[in-house]
Amino acid sequence: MFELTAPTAVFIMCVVTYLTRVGGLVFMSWFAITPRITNVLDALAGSTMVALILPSALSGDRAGVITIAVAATVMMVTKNAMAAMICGVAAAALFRAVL
Amino acid sequence: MVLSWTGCLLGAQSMLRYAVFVLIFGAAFGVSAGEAGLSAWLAIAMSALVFAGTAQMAVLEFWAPVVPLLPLVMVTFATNARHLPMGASLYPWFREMPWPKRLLAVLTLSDLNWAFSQNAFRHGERDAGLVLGGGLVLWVTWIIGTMIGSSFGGIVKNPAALGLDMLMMSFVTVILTGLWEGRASLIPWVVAGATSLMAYTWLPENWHVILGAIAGGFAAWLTSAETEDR
Repeated sequence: MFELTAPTAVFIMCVVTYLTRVGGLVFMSWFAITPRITNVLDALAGSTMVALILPSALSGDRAGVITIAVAATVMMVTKNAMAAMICGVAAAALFRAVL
Repeated sequence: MVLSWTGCLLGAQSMLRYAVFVLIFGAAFGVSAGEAGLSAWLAIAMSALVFAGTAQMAVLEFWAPVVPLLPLVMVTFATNARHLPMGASLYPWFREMPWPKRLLAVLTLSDLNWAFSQNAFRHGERDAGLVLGGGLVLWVTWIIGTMIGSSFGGIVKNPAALGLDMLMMSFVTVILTGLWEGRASLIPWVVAGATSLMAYTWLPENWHVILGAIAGGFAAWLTSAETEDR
């Protein structure tokens, strides 16, 4: 009863994933959008991104830390998003090739 | 806030430059899926219906001819729980549209198109098509990549060696640098970072993003109490 054939499993993954995609919108619709909530949502975007990259950057090899440092520096200096991204990825590739 | 074809096209254009990377990751998934015993058709169907790389890779760990329901739901939810704060952060703009459009616009919500659109909305852009159109390009590329990987197994064994696993990290760093608002960002981001590190160290896999995000949001809630009273 709790074991699924492969196609059913894919279908269930599809439903669960879509629910996470709409879940944030549905949840927020239960609240009035006060200035305080706006601040929270503002912080939520950055917080999600920090939580997304920081743990994986600090574990594993040093490539993650190098990528973040290089991408952030190039972005702050040049304000060119594409250049910053390419430098970040290239720095990681270079680091791994040298070691 | 609108959801227009023009917006979809703009979003698609902005994501097109990442297509080659998504293609390679899709191929890597196709290869891994084949090794885990999924038929090519099933792997392609999964990419088309689920469209969530981390979740798809994660379930391969325990994939079998009969798949156990509980781990499947748990792992899929945990790897995709980051969509919840992502969707919530879009709400202030999306609430200006009727529900059918909101539900449609998040159909292809994923890391890259969310980070891009979130940033664009902050800079005055008002078209949810950015999210949907950008995601559609990534979706199509993800499916094509899966097809390539399933058909010609072994071509992309290790995208990490090329530094490609760093693409998402690099992209998010660039967006984050632009989101920085000085003191208002400092406390939530530090709290989010610390919480995610603790969750990553001590909790089962994949909970760190959602918990870090919630902690950061909560920190903003606590520190912005005075601004509302003024």
